[in-house]
Amino acid sequence: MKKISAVCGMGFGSSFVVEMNIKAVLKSLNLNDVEVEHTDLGSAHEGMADLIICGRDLEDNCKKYGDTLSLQNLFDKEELEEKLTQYLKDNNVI
Amino acid sequence: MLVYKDYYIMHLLMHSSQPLMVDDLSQLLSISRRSVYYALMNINEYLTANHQVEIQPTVEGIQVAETTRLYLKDALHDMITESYVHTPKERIGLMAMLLLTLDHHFSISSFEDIFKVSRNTVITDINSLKKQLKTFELNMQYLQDKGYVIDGKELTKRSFLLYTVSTFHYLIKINHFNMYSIDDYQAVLNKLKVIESALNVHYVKETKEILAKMLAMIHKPHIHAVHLDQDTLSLIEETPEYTRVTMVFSELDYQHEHHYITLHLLGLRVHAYEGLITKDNALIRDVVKTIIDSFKNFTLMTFDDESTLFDGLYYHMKSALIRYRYGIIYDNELKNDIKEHYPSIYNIANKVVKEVEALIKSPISEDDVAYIAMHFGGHLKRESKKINTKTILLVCLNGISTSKMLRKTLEDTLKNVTIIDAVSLDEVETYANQVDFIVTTIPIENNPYHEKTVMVQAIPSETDLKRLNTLFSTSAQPDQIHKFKRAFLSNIKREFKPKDYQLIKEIFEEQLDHYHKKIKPKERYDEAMLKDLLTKEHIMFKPQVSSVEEALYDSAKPLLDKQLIEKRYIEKVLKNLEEMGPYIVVAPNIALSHARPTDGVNELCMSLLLLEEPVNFSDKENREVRVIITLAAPDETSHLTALGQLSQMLMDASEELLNAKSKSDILRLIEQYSTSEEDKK
Repeated sequence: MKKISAVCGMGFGSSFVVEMNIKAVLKSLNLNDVEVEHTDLGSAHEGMADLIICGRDLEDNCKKYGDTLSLQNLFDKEELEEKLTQYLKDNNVI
Repeated sequence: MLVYKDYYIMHLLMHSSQPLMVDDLSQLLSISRRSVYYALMNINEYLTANHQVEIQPTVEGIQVAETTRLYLKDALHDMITESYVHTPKERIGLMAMLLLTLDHHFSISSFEDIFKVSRNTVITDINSLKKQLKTFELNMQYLQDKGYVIDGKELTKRSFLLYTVSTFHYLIKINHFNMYSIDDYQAVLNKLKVIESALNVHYVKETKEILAKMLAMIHKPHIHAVHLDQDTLSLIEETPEYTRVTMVFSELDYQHEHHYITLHLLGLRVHAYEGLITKDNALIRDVVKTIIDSFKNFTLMTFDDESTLFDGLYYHMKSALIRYRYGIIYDNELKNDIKEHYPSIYNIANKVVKEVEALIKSPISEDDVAYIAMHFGGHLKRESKKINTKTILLVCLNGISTSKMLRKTLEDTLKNVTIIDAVSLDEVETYANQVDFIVTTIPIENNPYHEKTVMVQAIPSETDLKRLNTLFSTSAQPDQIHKFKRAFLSNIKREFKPKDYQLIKEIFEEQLDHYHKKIKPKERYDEAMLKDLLTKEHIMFKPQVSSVEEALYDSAKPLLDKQLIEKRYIEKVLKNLEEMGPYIVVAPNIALSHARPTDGVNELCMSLLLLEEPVNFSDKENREVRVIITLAAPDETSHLTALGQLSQMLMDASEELLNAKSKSDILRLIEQYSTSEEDKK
């Protein structure tokens, strides 16, 4: 696991918030060498990251570019923490 | 039809104690001469249509006929409520003149009365003046019995006075504050005219007036005599000017006063008196080198043929240094043309001479600044080079006062900009195509130039200045530095062990910070907080809406009304919704309506609409929303602080927000989450 991308429609609003939250979760898991960035859907491409995290309405769009986690509430840190931790466990990262 | 600016010009023309010229009006209103002529034309059209005598520009100034005066009196009384508003520089200039010429007891409260400003403003002004005086080895202090006084060499005091009088001549034309009596002034002026005809020479009218005013100001019992050294005295005594001065000013028979007046008259000779050339070659070299280096610094330019430029300035400085030392009047008839036609070079020259002033410890007048600008202008032309500055048009309600203050702030804060004019809304069209940017304090309706329009407050906030700086700056910009930093750190992280990486990171950040602070001290502002953006009038309640479109437009209403964003911003949000689905529903019940900085954003802004009945953003699924927040940012970063606070608030307190019953409920929440990182620590 090297890189996680937060994606939103415009790449400058909610994806930034998600990026901050991802970083906070990773920190609490002591995963300090995973790079996190945020971007807009238009710039998304295959191989851009090991994991993409986005809102539920962009899930179908993002799936094309790699593993995707979708969130009901982009601002909900708990939801993110739960889903991300589960994903990392499933993929033997932690 | 007369507009406010026209009335204001008439007001100035009718109330000033001495007739004003077009140039005076241009300075008083801080607009170009072209704009003054345009206003005068407008006034005359109006006067003709109403069968009144037109106003006449003559060599003595613009004349207003008595009948016209009477005709306009009432209209002016109704229209013009404000008195002339001085800029900080003008206040400081006047303050210096008052202290140097009047034997009054001046205190902070006397200046409060004179300028109608607060005590704090006066104190700030006094401190700036003190600092300025210090450059010239003059000292300003407060004495119990005398009030504020300026001490120092009499010659330096006089040269500073002359410099101030010539810089702010237009101001003392409208009000001379009894610094001289009109009779004394007329008497001195007549004497100068007598000498003029006796010697068969011709002095420029404005220069003569300035010199006469200065002499009328200082020929008072409480002002000390000057002292000149023996060599200079003997040189002066040989000149025909000296003989005439002793005859005409026979009443001033105290020490060296005749010599002093003669010095000024010598300075007005076309070919400066040969004996008055400085022999201090090392100093001239220093001065010229400072001028060229500092010009190169400001423009980031180099010259192919620097030695020609050097020689030209060297020759000029030989006589100029003597003038600076004795504070001798000098006139450059082309001054106003240079200021108007080469504003950018003039502006830079103006900044350059500040460094020279510190070196020679004497003030340098606008006439000399124009002369130095001429040298550079000519040289750049020969080398076919142009200065890369952005041109700006200022727009405000009346085309005066507000823009005047704004203009000074911008000129002082921003590098590499030239403000070509300040106009009112209906004149924008005339100029818009000639400038790179339009900076406005009022919304421009149906603005065809929105791409290059920037809206700011009349007294620009720190955020405004930061934005302008980013826009106009040609050097590295803060967000670019930020991006660079991120890319750099993520690269080295792969290459080094965590411990080494940490060390490199620390050193790098410290250096970058240090450098950043040094080059852009004005850009290190705090970001806007949530409470700065979501203000009372940006929060709205509504029972329900009939469509998503209505919800989006209603939520953005205050932003659209104030032209903080353009309509196409919301159109873009709608288009995105169609293409990408209801992704802006970022959390249950909450939509964050936003597009890109390039989609018609004029200013960082946010607004919030709370609906009683939810609206569904999707026709396939349940995407019900009760809170619609519109967010617009002019760049990639300025909104991040506020957005972080907003997300925290939505995360922790969405229930409270949805249950809010009044604006103050919501404002309380916003206040609670508008805390900076520092506060938290």
